[in-house]
Amino acid sequence: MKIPRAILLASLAGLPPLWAQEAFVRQTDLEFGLVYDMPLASTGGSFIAPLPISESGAKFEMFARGTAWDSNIYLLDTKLIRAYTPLATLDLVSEDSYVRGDPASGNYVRRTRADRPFSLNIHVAGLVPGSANTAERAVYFSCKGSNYDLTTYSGLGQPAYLLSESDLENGDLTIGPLYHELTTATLTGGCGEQSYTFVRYAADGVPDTILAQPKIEIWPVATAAVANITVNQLFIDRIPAIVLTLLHLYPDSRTYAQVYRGTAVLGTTGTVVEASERRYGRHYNPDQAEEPTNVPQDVSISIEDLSKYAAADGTYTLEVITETPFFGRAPERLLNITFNVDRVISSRGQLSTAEKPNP
Amino acid sequence: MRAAVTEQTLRKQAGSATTLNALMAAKSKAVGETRPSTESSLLSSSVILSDGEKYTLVPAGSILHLPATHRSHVVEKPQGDFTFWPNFLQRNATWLAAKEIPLTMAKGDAKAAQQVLHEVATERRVLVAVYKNGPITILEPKPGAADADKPASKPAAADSKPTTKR
Repeated sequence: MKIPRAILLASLAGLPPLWAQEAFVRQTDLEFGLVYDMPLASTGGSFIAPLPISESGAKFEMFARGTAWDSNIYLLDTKLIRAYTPLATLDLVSEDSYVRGDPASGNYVRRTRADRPFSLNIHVAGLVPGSANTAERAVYFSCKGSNYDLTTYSGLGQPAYLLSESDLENGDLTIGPLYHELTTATLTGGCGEQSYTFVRYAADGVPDTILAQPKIEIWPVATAAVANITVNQLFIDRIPAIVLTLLHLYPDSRTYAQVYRGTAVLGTTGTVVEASERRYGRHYNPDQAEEPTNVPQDVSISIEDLSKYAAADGTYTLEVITETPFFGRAPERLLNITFNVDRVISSRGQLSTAEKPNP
Repeated sequence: MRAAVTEQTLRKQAGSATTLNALMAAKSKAVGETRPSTESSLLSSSVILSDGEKYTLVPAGSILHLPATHRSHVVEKPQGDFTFWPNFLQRNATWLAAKEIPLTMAKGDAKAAQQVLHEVATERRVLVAVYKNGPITILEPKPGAADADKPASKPAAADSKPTTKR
């Protein structure tokens, strides 16, 4: 094979803004082991690799930092330039369309919620069926899980554990629907990532090479709790301040409290409690200048004026509703609590007069 | 509107679905005795330079000159936040510099190396070999070259320690 002396590489231009606009490409000569780091300009753009490519070929790996608060280094893309190179791609299908990184590169991040299934579309090509050489015959595939901290949502220092591994041959596989398999205490509290790695086996002087390594982040199902009020509590005076504790609000969500008259009936539209609404993510904040959050949010909301929404005597229900990309952004009820208001103090009494007889 | 899923309901739903391992076992082949590495080789093929607060990565074998007083800047594990080489170089200019080298030296040409090593013999800063501003490995001379020409066996200074790679 005639190997070109220089190669044109795709650059940062295609990266979404969630990746920091800094990166470098590491070129490794497969014949001599020469390693060369090429810083990429923040403006991106294609460029010519300065080093010539030897007869054995070269490996190009593009690395970038995470976002401003994530200083980890991520492998964004790998390209082997040589006579024979297998191809492996994975399309992670989630109800949430969110993606971080470039799906075309094979190294990107999608996300889902712990209760929602997802599926994998795997494509492998370029292998030589029946070859005695493992590297030509199969591509290694593995899935590893890693749990995140439930309060910081960080995976820093968390160990990865193997969930599945196999050798893939040429062809397309559709796998799913799959639920997350993280080893968290509860399924609804699943918080972490599952990474899918495709590796070309080492051969002919080329080391084990990661062809693609996409990930899916799994965030817990949100929960809501309320303090200072109990089920069917009777208020005969002004309702005291109550406190809502909302945990794991999905990074793309709208959550609010509402009150309506009567006992709890799923699907009832009530009056949204002022200042109880929380919006996260670009979908619910289209005009927001700063980058939206990438992790779930925990909030505590104090409602001082619940009496305003329960002016007349009777039975009322307080609900916490959340909307996310799941179920077509249909509202989901996280909490409901019914209470009673009776401000009229009734009593039985008698008034009588006693006329003083005339003297 | 729907009620948020409960743990019990989710366990029932997930329990009726097949696991990835079971699905893959039916559609692919078992892995042989040898498993490849699934980790990026970035760290293993790099030298980690640290200033205590930030660190950067340069190719293994690219440290051209390492005075003894600055050996503590070469660390085994990342310390602090990662930053890119150009920024790391800029913030540590008092003890770190880039030395542009010819590509022939990077490929192991001993004569080219001799001249560069002579130039940096009295340098007090850590020097990283760069080619067109990009850090680059310096390969050892090709087998058969005269021992005297080997940059690895002829440190530029008594307290320097050029790292080479083959």
